[in-house]
Amino acid sequence: MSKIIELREKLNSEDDIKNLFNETIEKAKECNNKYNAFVTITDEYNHIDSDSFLNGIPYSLKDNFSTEGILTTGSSNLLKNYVPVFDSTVYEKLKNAGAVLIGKTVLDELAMGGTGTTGNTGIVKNPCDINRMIGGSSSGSAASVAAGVVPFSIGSDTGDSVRKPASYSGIVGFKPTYGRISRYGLFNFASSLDHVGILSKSVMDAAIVTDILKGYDSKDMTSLKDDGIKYVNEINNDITGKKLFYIKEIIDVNTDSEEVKENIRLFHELIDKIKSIGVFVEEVSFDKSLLNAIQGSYYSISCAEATSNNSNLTGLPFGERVEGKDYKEIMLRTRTDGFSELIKRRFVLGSYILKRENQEKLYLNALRVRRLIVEKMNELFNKYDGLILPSTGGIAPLFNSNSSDKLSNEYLLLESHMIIGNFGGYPSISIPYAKVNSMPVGITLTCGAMKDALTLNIANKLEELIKYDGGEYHV
Amino acid sequence: MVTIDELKEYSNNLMFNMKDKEYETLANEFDTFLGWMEYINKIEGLKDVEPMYFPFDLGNVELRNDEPINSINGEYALMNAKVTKDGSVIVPKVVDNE
Amino acid sequence: MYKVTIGLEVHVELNTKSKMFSPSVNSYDKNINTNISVIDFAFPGTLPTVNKAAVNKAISLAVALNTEISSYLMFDRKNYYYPDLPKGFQITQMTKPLGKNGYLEILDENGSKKVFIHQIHIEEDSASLDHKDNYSVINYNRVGVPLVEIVTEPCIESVDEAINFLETLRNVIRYLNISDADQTKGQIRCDVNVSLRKEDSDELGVRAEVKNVNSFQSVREAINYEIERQTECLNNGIEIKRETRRYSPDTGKTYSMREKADAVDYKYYVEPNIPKIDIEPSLVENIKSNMITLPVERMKKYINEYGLSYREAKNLIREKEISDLFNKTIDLGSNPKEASNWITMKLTEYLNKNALEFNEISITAEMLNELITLINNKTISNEQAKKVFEVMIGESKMPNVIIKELGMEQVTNEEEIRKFVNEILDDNIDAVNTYKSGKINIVGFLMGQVLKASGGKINPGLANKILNIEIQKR
Repeated sequence: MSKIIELREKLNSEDDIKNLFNETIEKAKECNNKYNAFVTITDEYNHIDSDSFLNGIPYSLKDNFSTEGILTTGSSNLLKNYVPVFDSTVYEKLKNAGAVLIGKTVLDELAMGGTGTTGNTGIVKNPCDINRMIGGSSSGSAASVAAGVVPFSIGSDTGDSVRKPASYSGIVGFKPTYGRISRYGLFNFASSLDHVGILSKSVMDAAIVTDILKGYDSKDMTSLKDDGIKYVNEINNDITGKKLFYIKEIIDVNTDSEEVKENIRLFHELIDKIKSIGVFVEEVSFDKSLLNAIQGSYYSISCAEATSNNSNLTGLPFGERVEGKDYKEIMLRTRTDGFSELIKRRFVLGSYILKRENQEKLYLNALRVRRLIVEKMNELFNKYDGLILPSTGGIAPLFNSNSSDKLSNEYLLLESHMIIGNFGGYPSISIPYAKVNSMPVGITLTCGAMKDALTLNIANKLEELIKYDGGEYHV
Repeated sequence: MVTIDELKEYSNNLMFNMKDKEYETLANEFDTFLGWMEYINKIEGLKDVEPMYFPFDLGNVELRNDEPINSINGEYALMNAKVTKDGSVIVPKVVDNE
Repeated sequence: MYKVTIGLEVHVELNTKSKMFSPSVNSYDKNINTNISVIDFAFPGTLPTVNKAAVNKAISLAVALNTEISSYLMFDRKNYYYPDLPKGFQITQMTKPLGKNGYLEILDENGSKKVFIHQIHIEEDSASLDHKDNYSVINYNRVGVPLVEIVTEPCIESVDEAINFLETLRNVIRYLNISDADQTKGQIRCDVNVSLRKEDSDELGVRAEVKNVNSFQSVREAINYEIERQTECLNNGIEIKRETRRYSPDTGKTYSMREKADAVDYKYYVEPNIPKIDIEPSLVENIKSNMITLPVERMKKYINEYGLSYREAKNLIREKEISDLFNKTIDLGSNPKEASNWITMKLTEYLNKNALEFNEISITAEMLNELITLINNKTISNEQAKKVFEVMIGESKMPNVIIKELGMEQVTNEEEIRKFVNEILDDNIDAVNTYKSGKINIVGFLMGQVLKASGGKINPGLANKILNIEIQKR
């Protein structure tokens, strides 16, 4: 049920493409009024004709991807007027494939957040329920797809930032293997954890877009040599006999939340359904102490890397510079005014972690835990084709809930296991599978590194099995 | 554990100030985080494990050939710079006291 | 009294065509912002890419300095805020420097010494600040220029040794063609560490670091000033502070910049955007086996095998092309001492007189060898040779061609010389009579006449011999 293919069938001329563009722009404006998904809505029609699957297809791009001549703010005050003088590789490839940019979407500031409420251009509302958050940091991207404005959006995923909002809004969120898609031009948050991701309405669409975007980029030393596989051609392979597992310690939660309990119950139902089509699913035990270490390890690595990745934001060659009597004052005032308090707190933590006397215990130990987790996972991926888990514990939180309350460690596992996909660079996808309290919930499938085709294949077949009909949240 | 004064010093070293209230929030976050790390530091055998800097080994990495590209136009590159003079970004005179 | 200990950190700009981590042009340009890319400006989303030629050049220096070479490359971030540092960090090597535990042998009149190298690593340069009256302009041309940093152990024991080390190092660098190491263009810069200790003490004293000393002359002055300053402090019971100082070429003094060099924590950590890069052992082997003979080795050979003096040898190796010329001339059969004389004296004189650099003239080993041969087989005299030499360089011709063109062949036929001498004697009867009267020194005057009249074409040795015979007959 590919939205892209559906649209492509209707696009038979340049006029068709232009009309679709204009319609989509109108939708985008309405979407913005309701959900505040966009920082910038394109005001110019730009289309390069191509014979790719994406020719003429409208899409949105998270506002931390550089687009030459088009405002790219990172949803940060410091960059509120920043117009890049170069293109990200992702944008360049999509342009050349004939895709049509509709707008740049709102994110949690500099991608450092998970609620969709920390960007400087206001909070993003969940099209499934405007009283609820959509999660983040690819908040606007998810909203623009969930609201039916565009069939796909490009986001970034450092801990779960594509997969979580996808889960909260009933759409597909795919994070390929680390380096599969070039990060050149994507604002660096935590470079060893950052991935380009795709949000779409179906797994097929995620596959179509990934096929276009993947490939070695000489400008990104961490990008992978192309695997030479057309993912679209692999997603319908028979998955009978495949072996999946889920982690006992993550599923067996002690919780008071009815929503979480319901989600878990539905998850078990799904597992049974999956087994019934000839796929093996086993419960596996995973070292609890390592699981409990995920949160701390992630925080340490991501804050440490983020701090230095944002040291270029000083107001000098670009940015909202605030004057001062010397360069120190200029930098100080620029950064004080330019960053939100949340970001600053993350930076202080990050730089504390990197202090000479702290690195061993606070940074290197986090990297050691990362290795322990990844090595254990790799062992499991040698035995199993994929890990399957509920994407999150509960549904998208309400805006006035105290979702910053400290939750028990057990519950946290359900909310933070997707980080495993970033630690090991594993291809990982969230697809919607059910409704709890009228809100969508998703499952996340993660496979071994480099196994993008397999991930999309299994996910596609599960999508077929699930036949999720979350309803179309049209604008 | 970490004092507000220390937090102020750290943020100053990062070239920004925070609102007073935020330092308190931050101090709490430090406590939470350090609690997590204390837990991690107790994991057995941790110090014998190699830190993992990259998600996996990328194998044979290609280095860039020494062929220069054309320079980007200076003015164009600096179109986002708010204060320029004599063809580039300027700051009040820097006195060599680092 | 006090003994001085010196440690040096030398930064050298590599002469690659593009920069270390960005593909923009690596070239000196006096115009502002002409060699730049988006990566140099550290725009959000830009990523570093490693220059292969820069790595190879750095490895060749690491080999030449006899270091243990790492089996892989890893880079780190050095984090701090300054207007000349667009990223807010410099990409350098801290965790795994390219080479460690090496040495550079230096020679002086008394013998040789190994100066130990702590490490050599790769990093990138920062922007340059152009200070005007009340503002500073940031010139981004220099951002990202490849640098190699050589750090010595604190084992240099005098200012002369320090300069000798620097000059030797610079020469090695030029021989390897990895940098022009031109001080005036800032291509070779030093941080100097100086400490004093009591003569009988084994423990090193507290050191002061003098940063960014940009010429060897300045290094000399800075070290001397530090020795003076620290001596005075110690003599007056004042403790030496562990600090960073800057050197002023205008005053020749050093000034305190900040106390406790340790106080700045750069929060080094591994650069996540550059994966681990394996260094193939075969690459290093290749570089080792293809390494040219380095200056100090050449000097030792010239002194020990050819019996040249220290000063002559030092002159010969001052530029690789000069040493190559010397080597080739010997290979063609010339006597080392003679070849050395021509190069260290006549050639040096010629270059100085005409204010030329060696690379501005063309002189080949074939030319020089032929010239020496022609003198030795007496085809031309030493006087004539000087003239031939100048024309040889000036017009880039082989000596035998020049001799023919200038009609310079020396007459060596004894019959001819006898005839000529007798003609002169016939014309100078008075002088002959003076000789016969016992004042035999008059033969000097007669020789002069012979030479003048012959335009220097007659071989003087033979002419002298024959003149003495003929005058006896009168």
